[in-house]
Amino acid sequence: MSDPRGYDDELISAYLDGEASPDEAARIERDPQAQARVAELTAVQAAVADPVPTLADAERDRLRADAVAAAAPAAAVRPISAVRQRRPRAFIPVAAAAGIAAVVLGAMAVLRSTDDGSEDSTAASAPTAAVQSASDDSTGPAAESAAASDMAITSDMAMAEESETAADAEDGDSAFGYDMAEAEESETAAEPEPMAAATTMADMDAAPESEALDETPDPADDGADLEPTDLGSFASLEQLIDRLALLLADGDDLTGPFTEPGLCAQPVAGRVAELSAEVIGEARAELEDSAGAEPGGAVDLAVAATGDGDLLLVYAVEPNCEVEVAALE
Amino acid sequence: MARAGRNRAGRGEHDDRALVAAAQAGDQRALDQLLRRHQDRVHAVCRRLAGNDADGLDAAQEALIAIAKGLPRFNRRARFTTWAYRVATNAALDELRRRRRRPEPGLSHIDDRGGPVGGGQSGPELGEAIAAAIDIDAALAGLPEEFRAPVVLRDVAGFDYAGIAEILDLAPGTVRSRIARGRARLAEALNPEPRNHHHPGQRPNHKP
Repeated sequence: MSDPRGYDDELISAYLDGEASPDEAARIERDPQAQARVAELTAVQAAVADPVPTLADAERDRLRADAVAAAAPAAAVRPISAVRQRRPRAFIPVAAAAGIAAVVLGAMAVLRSTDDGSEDSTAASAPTAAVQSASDDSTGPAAESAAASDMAITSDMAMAEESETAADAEDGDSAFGYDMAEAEESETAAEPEPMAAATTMADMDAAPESEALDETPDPADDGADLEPTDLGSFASLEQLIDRLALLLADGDDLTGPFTEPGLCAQPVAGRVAELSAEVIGEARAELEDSAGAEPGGAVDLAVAATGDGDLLLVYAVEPNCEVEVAALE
Repeated sequence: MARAGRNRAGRGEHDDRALVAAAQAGDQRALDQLLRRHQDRVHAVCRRLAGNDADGLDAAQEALIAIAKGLPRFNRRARFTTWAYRVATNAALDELRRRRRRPEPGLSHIDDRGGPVGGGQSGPELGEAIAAAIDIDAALAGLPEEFRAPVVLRDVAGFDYAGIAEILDLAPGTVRSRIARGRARLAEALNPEPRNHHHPGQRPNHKP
C-alpha cells in the first residue's frame, strides 16, 4: 500500500516483522521518511503486544479443567445414544399404530373365542399372554395363540413403520428423519449385515434397479430423499459438526431448502463406499468468513452408519475436496 | 540466538506431538498439559481480540474448550499450534460475535483506505503521543476482524506471516497486506487527523 507521502506501509510493516527482503530493508533504512513511519508503526506494534493481565492460577486451572471436562467422553460428540433414547417423530405414530393393532387383534381373539366355544378361554387374553410369553416358556394352544398374536403385532408394527416412513418421505421430511427411522427399524429387527458398497449413493446410481436391496425400504426409491439438506452457513467446520451432532441428538428433521450436491459430493460418496457404510443422511453447508478470512467454501457431508451401528460423518470442503471422516459416536 | 529459538520451537512442537498423541488416545493428563502449554498465549490472543478482561476470559474458555473437543479430529498433518490457534481464533471470534450487543468505541471514522496518519507529528513524537493517549483495546475493538485477527496473531502470539496465513486460511500476501492496513488504521485511530483531533486520553466520539 503506497502512501501519498511516499512510504509503503506494507513494506514497512513487513520490515518491522522481519519479513522484508534484504533489499527492501536496505531501502527503508536509507529513507528518513520511511524511518519515521517505522517509529510510528513500532509504537502501534508495542501497544498491541503489551502483555495482557495475567490470570490467577486458580482461574487458569479452572479454564483447563472445564475444557478437559468438556472433552471427556460423556460430553463428546456422541449423538447416537441420544438419538436412540429419543426416537424420531416417526416413532410416535408408529407406536400409536402398533397400539391400535394390538387392540384390534385382541378384539378379534375375543370374537373368535366367543364364536368357537372349543377354544381355551385363556386365548381371550392373547395380547396379555403375548407380553408374558416373552418371559416364560409356556406351551400349548394359549401360548401358540399368544405367539401368533405377537408375530402379528410385530409384523403390523413393521408395516406401520414402513408406511409411516414412506409417508414422511412423501411429506418432504429430510433424508435424516427418514433414515434414522429405518435405522431404528433395523435395530429392532434382525441385526443387519454390514451394508455393501453398492448401497452408497454413488453405486446406487450405477446399479440396476433389480439389484437394489428389497429387504428394507430403500431411500433411493424416492429421489427426493437423496437430496442433501441445506444446513446453512457456519463459521467453522467444528461448529458445523457440533451443530449436526446436536440436530441428530435432538432427532430433528433437517428440513429446509434443498440444494444440489456440490463439488465434493462424489468424493464423499466414494469414501463412504470404501467404508462399507450406509448413507443415512446428506447435507451441504457453506462455511462463512472465518476469522475475517476469505470465504471458507462449501462442505458436502454424509452421515453414514457402519454395519456395527457406528455413525460416521464423512465430509469434504471445496475446492480441494479432501475427504475427512469423524466418528459421531 | 535464532538457532536457539528454532531449537526451542522445534522441541516444543515435538512435545506437542507427543502430548497430542496421548491426549487423542484418551489421556486426560496429557490433554491438560497440552492446554497448559498454550493457555497463556491463547488467553492473550483472546484478550486482545475481545478488548476487555471479561470477554477475553470467556473467549479463552470457549477457545480452550474448542481445542479440547476438536482434538480427536486433528489429523496431525498440520502443526498443532497452527491448528490450535485456528480453532482458538475462530472460537473466540464466534464467542465475541455472540456477545457483541453493545456499541463499541472504534474506528468508524476511518475509511477503508487506511492511509494517512501523523497529523504533522514526526515518528518519535507520535510514538510518545501514542504512549500517552493509547487505548489499544478500544482501537483494536474498532478494527474489523479481518485486520484485527492477523495483527493480534502477529504481535501477541508472534506467528510469522506463513503461520498466520495457515491459521486464517489466507494467502501470505494477504496476511502481509492486512497486517499493514490494520496497523495503519490503529495508528490513525490513535492519532486522528486534525478534523477528528481530540485531547489525548479522550476517546474519539463516533456517535452521531
